This record gives sequence, C-alpha cells and structure tokens, in this order.
Amino acid sequence: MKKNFFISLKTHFETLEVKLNQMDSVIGDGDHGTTLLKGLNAILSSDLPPAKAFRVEAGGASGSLFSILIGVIDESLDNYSSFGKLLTNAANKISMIGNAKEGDKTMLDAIIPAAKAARESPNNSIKNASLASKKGMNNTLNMPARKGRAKYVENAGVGHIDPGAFSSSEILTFFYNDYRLKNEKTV
Amino acid sequence: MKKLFNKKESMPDDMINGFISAYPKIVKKGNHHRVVLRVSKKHKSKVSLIIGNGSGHEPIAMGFVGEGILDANIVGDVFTAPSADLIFEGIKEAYNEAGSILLISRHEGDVINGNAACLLAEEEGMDVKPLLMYDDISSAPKGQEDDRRGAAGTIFIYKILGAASEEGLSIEDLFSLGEKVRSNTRTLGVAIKSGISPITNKPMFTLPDDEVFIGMGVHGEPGVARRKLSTVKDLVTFMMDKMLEDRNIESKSKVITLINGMGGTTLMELYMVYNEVCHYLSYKNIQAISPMIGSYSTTQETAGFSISILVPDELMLKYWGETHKSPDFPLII
Repeated sequence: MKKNFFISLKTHFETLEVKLNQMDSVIGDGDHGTTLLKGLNAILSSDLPPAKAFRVEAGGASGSLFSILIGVIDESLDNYSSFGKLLTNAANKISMIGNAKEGDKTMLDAIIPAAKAARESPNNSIKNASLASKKGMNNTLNMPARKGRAKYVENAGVGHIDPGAFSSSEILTFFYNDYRLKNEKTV
Repeated sequence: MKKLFNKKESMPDDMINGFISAYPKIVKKGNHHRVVLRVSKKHKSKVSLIIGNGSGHEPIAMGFVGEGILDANIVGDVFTAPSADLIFEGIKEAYNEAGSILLISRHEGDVINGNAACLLAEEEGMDVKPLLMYDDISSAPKGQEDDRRGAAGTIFIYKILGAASEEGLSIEDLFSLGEKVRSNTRTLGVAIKSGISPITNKPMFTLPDDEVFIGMGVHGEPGVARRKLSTVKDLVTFMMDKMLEDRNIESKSKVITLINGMGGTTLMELYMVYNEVCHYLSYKNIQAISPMIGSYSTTQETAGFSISILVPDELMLKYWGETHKSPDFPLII
C-alpha cells in the first residue's frame, strides 16, 4: 500500500523534474528536481526506511531537509491522525537544522503555514495543510532570499518562487490527493 | 586549463590514500573510506573534536588530524559538504565517552548536514554538540556576526580546542571556550587571481589584471568590493583598518595573526604581508605574537591571502602554543 504511494509520488516528480531544475537554476544549482528524484527512486530500490533511503541517496543539504518531510508522509500513511503533530515537529526540525524561519524564502514558507493549518483544523488537517502550503509557496514570489545561494543572486531572487517551497507544497498536495481518493472509495 | 588527476571523481580518495600512506603513525582511515582518524589512543575524558568539510581546501581540515588538534575529519567531494549520514559515520567512529564537538565552518551545506548529523547522533543517545564557526567580516555587517561565513580564522578554534580537549576540559567548558575564541576572531581576505575549479575545470571568477577582490569566499563566492591593485602596504592598511573598525583592539593588547595564502600566493609574498601587519599593529601600539604564516585554507591555485586576528586571553595563548602531532599544522613559536 505504502509502496504504491511512493511509486506514484516518484512518477509525479518525474513530470516535475525539468520544471524544478529550471526554477532552481535561477537562484541555485539547477539540480533540485534531479536531486529529489534521486531520493524518491532510492525509496523504491532500497531496504532502508523511506526517509533514510531518501537522505542517503539524494545527498547534499536538500537530502537532509526533504527527508524529514518524507518521514512525516511515511508515518502519516500509517496513522493519518498524527499528521498535524508530525508536520509541526518536522517544521521545527527543518528550521533548526537549516537555521531558517518563515519569510526567509525557503521550503519552510510552505511547511510552517501548512503545519499551523493542520494543527488548527484536526478534522481537515491534510486538506488544509495542502491549501496553506500552496498559499505560502506563492508568497515566496516577492520575498528576497535570506538563505542559501539565492541570497547572492541579483535581487536576492525577488520575482521567483522558491523551488524548495514549490516542491514541499507539491508533496503535501500529492499526499492530500492520495488521501482524498482513498477516502472517497470508502464513502 | 591544466590540473593533475587520474579521474576527476577519484581526486578526494586518491588524495586521502596518499595522505594516509605518508603519515601512518599519525592518521588512519576509518571503516568508511572518507573518514580520517587519528592513530594515537585518547584518554576517555577527552572530548573528541570532529569536522566534516568539502575537499579541495587542503591542508584544512584533513591535514590537522592528529594528537593535539582534530580527532577526525570527514572528507566530502570537492567543494561539497559531506552528507549527514557520512558525518554521522565519522562521529560514531571518533566517539568518546566524554562526548564530541562537531565543528562546522558556517556554509549552508555544512551547517545543514552537520546539524542533521548531530540529530542522528542524538537519536542514538550520543552527546554531540555542533559548534558553528564564522569569522569573515566581508560576508555580513557588524551586528550580524552570526550570519558570517567561516574562513581561515576558524583554524584558531581547531588548535585551541584541540589542545584544551587533550587536557580533559569538559564538553561545556570547551564549547564556551570555542565561542569565546570565535567572538575574538576576525578575518578579511583578498583575491588577486582565480584558481581553477576541479569540478568545471574553469576559473571560478574573472578579474581585471590591475584589480583585487576584497572579501572573496573560500569557494570563489563574489567579493564585496573591488579595489585597484596597489602596494602591499596600502592593501594591508586598508584590510587592517576594516578589521579594527569591526572589532576594536585596545593599545597594549597582544594579537595572534594568521596570514593565510589561498593556494597560489608565494611564501615570499605572505611574509611581506606579515611585515606590513606588524608595522601597522606596532603603530597602534598592539603587539603581534605567535603568528601562523602559510597556505593552510586554500581554494586550489587561487592567488590571494587573508589576514585573521585573534585577541587571546592567557588560556587561549597557552593552548595555541601547545605542541601537537598533526602532519600539516606548523610549529607555533
């Protein structure tokens, strides 16, 4: 069951790879899509738990950061009711590891509002987290970057959506869509 | 562009193998081929000092493994931070009952993966504290010191904590000593000609023949300003003025300086720089003592240098001068 989820998440990111690389090339290394896909492929081919498989294979800073979000999804697939709490812990962990906060134009601009929405609406946590992450992701468009290489590019990346916020929102939205499909079947 | 290698991808491993073969009494490879460990046994009260960093900056940090300085270095690919799992591997291999301090030179990838490695260690019940190191005054303004990059001045922390940990200082005391050294350290660098990146085989930046970059990062990150190339005296005066503006040093103080070559600058030039630093400081009635001069934190064949200053207290001074056994760290006299 869980394996099917990660297969379709990987397929989804295959379609996003070029777009993510393009977004990243404006303000970073230009390999964000490829890095995530490397990690997602590793989840399917490795015997390690998904988060660790992702982290080891994706490598680099984004391997460490996104593996935390993958861990949330993995655990929530076993127990949907813990999603809000897990996402909140993950946001804190990512913030700690990356020394970043909301408004720095990073993946946290999608994840922190998502965690907040999930906490505040326990009955609709997965849906509201997805919606809040999209809104947060769009807000990065006009933010100047305060972290990573984006800080050093012209205008600090103002006018570009942060690729990490975009992919985080994609993961949360994909998780919501999967959840919705599963639930619709049982209704 | 010309650079020596067998295969680009094997550069770090070929280098590690040569290093280990050269100094088998001092260093050895860990279970993982990217973990370099000291050979000599440690007392169980010694906190282990560890750092992970991208390769391509030698001798920092691999060359400083050995009794009295580092217990382990985790070697990443060229200019690339090692992964969190690799750093964690190094932490495990060098672990001691007294705990560990993971030194992190403040660069995005190193910080994220270093912090993540500490979390992995914590989950296993290990006591590992990450100590962020930053000193480059060109990378963030005064008042935002903790946004600054790590540069050559981080070497003061390696050496002083290395000697102090050998004496059995507790992890808490070492950590606060490290913070104190950090807050008393400043670095400013200038680059005059780009080295060649082993990744792209191209120069990392371009610069007109008669200009220098002030504040170049260790990976060729853009400097904060350009300046006409002038005499050593003029350049050093400009740099020292900037550093003393950033951190006032009272007259009659003692100052340790590190004149670090970036890889393509001669020792002749570095001693000329030190000569001017001494003139500058003596004019301000500040005493320059126990310097370190040479190419220790390098960016391939980049020409340029940095000046680091540390205002030491008595304890720092003692640990700075303590003997050590690491292959590439100089004698401090």
